Amino acid sequence: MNSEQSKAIKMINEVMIYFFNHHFSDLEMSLNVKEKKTVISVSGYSKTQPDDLVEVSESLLHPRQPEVEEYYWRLLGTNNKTNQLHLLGALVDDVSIMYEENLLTVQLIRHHI
Amino acid sequence: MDKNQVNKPKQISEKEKYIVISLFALYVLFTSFLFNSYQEIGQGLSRIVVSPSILVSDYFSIGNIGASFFNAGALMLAMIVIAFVSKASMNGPVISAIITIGGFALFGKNLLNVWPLILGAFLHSRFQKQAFSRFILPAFFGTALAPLVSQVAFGFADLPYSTFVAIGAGLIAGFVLPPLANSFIRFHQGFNLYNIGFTAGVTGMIFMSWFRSLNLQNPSTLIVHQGSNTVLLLWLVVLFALMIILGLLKKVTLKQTLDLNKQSGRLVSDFVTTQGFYVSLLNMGVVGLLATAYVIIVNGQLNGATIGGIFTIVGFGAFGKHVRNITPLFIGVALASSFMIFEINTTPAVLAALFGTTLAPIAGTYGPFVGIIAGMFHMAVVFNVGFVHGGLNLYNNGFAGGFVAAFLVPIINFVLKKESE
Repeated sequence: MNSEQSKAIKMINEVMIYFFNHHFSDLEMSLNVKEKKTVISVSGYSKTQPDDLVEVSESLLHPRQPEVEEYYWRLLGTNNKTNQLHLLGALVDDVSIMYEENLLTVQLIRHHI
Repeated sequence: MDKNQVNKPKQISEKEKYIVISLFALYVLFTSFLFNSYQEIGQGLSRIVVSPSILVSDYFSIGNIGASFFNAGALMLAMIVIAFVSKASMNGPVISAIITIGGFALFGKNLLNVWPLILGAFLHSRFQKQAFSRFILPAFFGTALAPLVSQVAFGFADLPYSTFVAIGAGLIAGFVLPPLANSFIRFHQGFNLYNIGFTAGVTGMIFMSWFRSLNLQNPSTLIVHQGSNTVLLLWLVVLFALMIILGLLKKVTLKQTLDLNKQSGRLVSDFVTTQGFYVSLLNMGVVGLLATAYVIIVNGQLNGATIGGIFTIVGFGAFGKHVRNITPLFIGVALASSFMIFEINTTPAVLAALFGTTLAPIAGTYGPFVGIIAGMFHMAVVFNVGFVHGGLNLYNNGFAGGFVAAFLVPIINFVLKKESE
């Protein structure tokens, strides 16, 4: 397993913690580690929209931070009580978050640099 | 959505952040001449760079106050230049690393002994075929092992070719620290802010074990300055007041400050990126004043070591620490002093309180009561682990904090889970 695959596992773990902590059901996920980028998509159902969705977006939407990524990426998905969404944001280039018809879909794209 | 197109109003340019952090370093550098003359600073520096520098070697005593501040200011500027050339972002982790180096440049890091470690990390980046900026944090924080270089070069009288051995040891340590730090962080799950302290503790222990097995012994060291509280208090208050005033001039609001204080502080809490640069700067000034007040209230001494502790708290004011999550640690350590064998106002006990704030994320996540308990545990453990690395690791509290966090967090989680059931 190469380092991009290891990081992809940690990233998807972190997203899953968020979905489980917010009581989403019928989760579906896809993970595609290509040569030049990793694409992660997780979706799940909930009758109510999470009230922290704006904060989640803000946590993820900041420029990539290579120095933070290299040192801290193994912390992703290590604690079920608190999320590491800001750290997750340090590893990804593009983020898409949609809540429509009770379905939340989070898609993350990470370019391999 | 391309994240680089996101334009948050609270974010300012990298250039402005670099300038402000450089001003911090320049204040430390130029005010050194208020304490000693050019000649005295030169003489002091010449004594500092040949000192073994193992924990606790207060450069105020070994050199003089002016030479120590000059050493700290010059080292911080050197790190800022390295960060700039490496195109690293001046974010919370990088700011905390630079100011932590400034603090420890008052008692262990100097213009000579940090370079083999940084070069070792640079060689690691070349080995990995990656940009050095990716490894700048373990490179900067990894200077915790600077005494390894000085002790081997100047402390082991019977060691042949000691200078070459010292450089080699520093290079090796700097080379292996990045993967070790990355791996060890899982041990405490990010609840110990000084992760390199834990990593360097283990690495220092391995080196010291080899030295002792080769009959290379180092003495227990406690060199601390005392008797300059008034002038140093004034120096610190002016510095921190300037940081707070600059934050207020940039219109930092009470709400922004309160929002920052709501963060748990668990790694990775980059206040500069998530909360804004100037609210982080204001927070750094506030926690600096609080840490200084603690030293004065317990009737401790302001010296190279304790100001190093205060500076480290200031640096981590951009990366995890705020009034709400460090105060319980102060209280816990102070309470522990009332029934343990340690006098609250001695420099080692004051250092335990200041650096015990490495466990701030525990208080920030689980509340002040648990934070106080963590402070008491830290006080007991920190005096029991220094021997294993023989003072080679300057971040001894980070070493102890790693054990305390790894021990307490699973227990707390277990208890909370049972309560919720």
